[in-house]
Amino acid sequence: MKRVIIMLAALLSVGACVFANGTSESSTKMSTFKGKNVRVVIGSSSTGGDSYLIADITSRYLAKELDCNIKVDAVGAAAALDTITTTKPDGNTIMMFHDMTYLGVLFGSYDNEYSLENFIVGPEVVQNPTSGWASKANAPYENLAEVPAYLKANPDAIVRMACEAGGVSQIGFVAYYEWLKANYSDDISSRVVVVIGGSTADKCQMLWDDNCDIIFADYTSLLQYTQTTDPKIAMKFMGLLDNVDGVDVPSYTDLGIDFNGNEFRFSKDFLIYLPKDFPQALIDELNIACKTISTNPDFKADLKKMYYRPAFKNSTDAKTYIYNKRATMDILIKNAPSLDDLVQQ
Amino acid sequence: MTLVLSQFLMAWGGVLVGIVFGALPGMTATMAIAIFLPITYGYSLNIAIYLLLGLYVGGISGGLIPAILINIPGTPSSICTTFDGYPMAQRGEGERALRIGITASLVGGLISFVCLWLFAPLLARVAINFGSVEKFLIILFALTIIAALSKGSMLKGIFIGFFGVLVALIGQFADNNTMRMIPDIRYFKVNLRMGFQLLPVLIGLFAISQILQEAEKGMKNVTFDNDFKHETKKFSIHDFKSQITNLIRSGIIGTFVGVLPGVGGSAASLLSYSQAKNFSKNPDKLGTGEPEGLIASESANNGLTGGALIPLLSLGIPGDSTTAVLIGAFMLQGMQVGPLFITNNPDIWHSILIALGISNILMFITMFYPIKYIAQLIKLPKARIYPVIILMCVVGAYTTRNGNMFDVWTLFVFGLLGFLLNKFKFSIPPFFIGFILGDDLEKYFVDSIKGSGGSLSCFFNGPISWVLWGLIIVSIVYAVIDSKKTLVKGK
Repeated sequence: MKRVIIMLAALLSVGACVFANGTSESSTKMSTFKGKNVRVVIGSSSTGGDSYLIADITSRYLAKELDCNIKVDAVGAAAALDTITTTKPDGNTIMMFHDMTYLGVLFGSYDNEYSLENFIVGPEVVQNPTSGWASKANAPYENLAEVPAYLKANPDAIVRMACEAGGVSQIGFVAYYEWLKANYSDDISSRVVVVIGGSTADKCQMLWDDNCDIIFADYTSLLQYTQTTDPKIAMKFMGLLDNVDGVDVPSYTDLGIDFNGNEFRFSKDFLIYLPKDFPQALIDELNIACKTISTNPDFKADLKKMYYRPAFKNSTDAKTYIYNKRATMDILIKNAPSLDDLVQQ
Repeated sequence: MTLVLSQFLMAWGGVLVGIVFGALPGMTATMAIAIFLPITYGYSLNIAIYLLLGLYVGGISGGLIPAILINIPGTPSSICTTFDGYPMAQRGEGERALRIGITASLVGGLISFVCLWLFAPLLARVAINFGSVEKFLIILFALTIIAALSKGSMLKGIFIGFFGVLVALIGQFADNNTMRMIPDIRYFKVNLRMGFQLLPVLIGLFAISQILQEAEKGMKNVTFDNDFKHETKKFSIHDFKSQITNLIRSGIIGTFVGVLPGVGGSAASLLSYSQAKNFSKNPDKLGTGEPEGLIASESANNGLTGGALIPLLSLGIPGDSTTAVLIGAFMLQGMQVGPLFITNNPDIWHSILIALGISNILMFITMFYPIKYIAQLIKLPKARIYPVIILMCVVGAYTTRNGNMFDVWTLFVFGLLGFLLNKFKFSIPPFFIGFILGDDLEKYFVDSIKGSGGSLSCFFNGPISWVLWGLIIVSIVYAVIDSKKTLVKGK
């Protein structure tokens, strides 16, 4: 047993010695990104989703512009938020993430210590406007605005909408639900219920199994299901949260779905976030680099392949923008009933 | 000509690197592909796909090397390979076991290649009919192997298996974002949100615990083959003479499990091993160093590769975690995967087929002939090998989530847990099987209940459910009878 204890102590020491020390860099190199090795953490652990794809494309162009090496690390939301609130402000680690940065806190999934005030909002680079809803191709309604009429004509029917708890899809659902409540009777809105779904693949399977009627996903991930004639898997788009250039699918605005009488649009805004006390010189460098790449035709073309778009805002404007957006979403979430109450009983 | 040469070199390079990733405890095919993904952007997809599929096939195949030689599964799906592979190595038949495993891998890979080539749309259509109910029952069926592995101590085996399921449920419940079984301390809330990571748990339980046991015994100047017998049975193609059915059945099981999105590679080898045991003329011998078990596990492992590509290319839904990473490669090239992928991209489709076929053949050539040199590993002193393994395990655990120290502590904690389980005569594989299947067991149970509006009757609807219930019952009854026989023999 003594040997085991010694062995165990040795193992723990190896782990501690190898990884306890971070790398240090002289303060003279801190005023520029040039020559640095920059780690971009993203709030997703998938390398197939929009978070990774946007971070990868942007990093490739940023690396050229800043003359540094950039590596994207798909660490997941919890680890990314924790990293950006605890890492040194030396320019070696930054975060790129979409609206889940603040939505996780608003939904109560993450503590307030991860709220926007606890790190620096950097420039905005890209928008993904492609989130939306789809149903089976043979569904008895053509878009979200026709669902109330369908429910009125079929008093026993319910419509089950699959979305994730605490994400952009929940925002899309509650905005629609609030519009239903404001414009139709309680009987109509109470017959639109939530089914909690996971990944896009899970939600597709739920639709094909008739375990839900409408699913939330990105336009690109469902596009081919809307082009096939196979009745088992064929789908049609029911409405996007925002308009997408070159895509003939109506948005909430086109369908007249508003929030509190105001136009409702929601695109995922991908911003760079930085740790507190990040040097202003580096922020300025980042602002200039992001502005330059956002006008680069190759960058635009790469984004367009996936229906994303450049949306440059410098760090000051981006901060004002994202704080205002958060305030709007806060009102939306606080007014809406809990998802637990909206789940099909 | 240049293009063909580039493709060939990419595939071979991918296979070589993949084998290294698969063979190192803590590294997987998924990691290999994720690391090389950004590099592929510089190439056309027609070339990049050779590298990616080479990495995939190599990564899945390499896991058998440490599983057989040192009883440490290189990847989660090679856990069943240890059951018979290591006992064979202990008998002095390490090289034979490796060659049997490599050949079975080739056959499994080629079966899945043929299925992908000829039946992709058809199998994808069958896969759609497997909803959450059927997937839950398949996971439950895979779990019944715990009973089969626990003969003579059934209660202990089932207890520790379900303890593994419980540990798998630690983390955030996605349906309402509730944190479960996590201490209210910031460090744990951050790091345990997604639960314990599979790889640190695997290498902790199998590698670190084994090293602790050896340390307790003392290992100065001891080599692996000091403990091994030195029988001279060599590999021969006749080893497969009575195993053709097992080989093909296992390859088909692996392919089919791969076709079902979200069921996973570990389930493929578990189901295949379980079936090999159920159909075996000498089920008692499985687990004692029978090529039959080794063939079942390795044929199913590689059967998964082509199988998992079927839903990806026919439906746009990845069959496993590795093919999920492959989606990124397509997307970065601006290419959508979905039901029209094969029709719209015939050149890429053919490249994928050729790349998969070539990668399997290259894997065989790369591993089969030099394996006698790799098998010499067991002649090195344990005191030299184990520190290297510890270092590799630490690096592997640390890279699981791109540099998270919590995963290194997880490695050591589960190493200690494995050591204690052995001390108290609990078997580690049932715990690990419960752990890897626990998450999916819950997910598909909850999804089934949601779909049925809360009614349990959904688990008994339709012919597929009844067939799966039949298999589950047969498997449990068989395991109970087998366990009783073992107890009687023991008396």
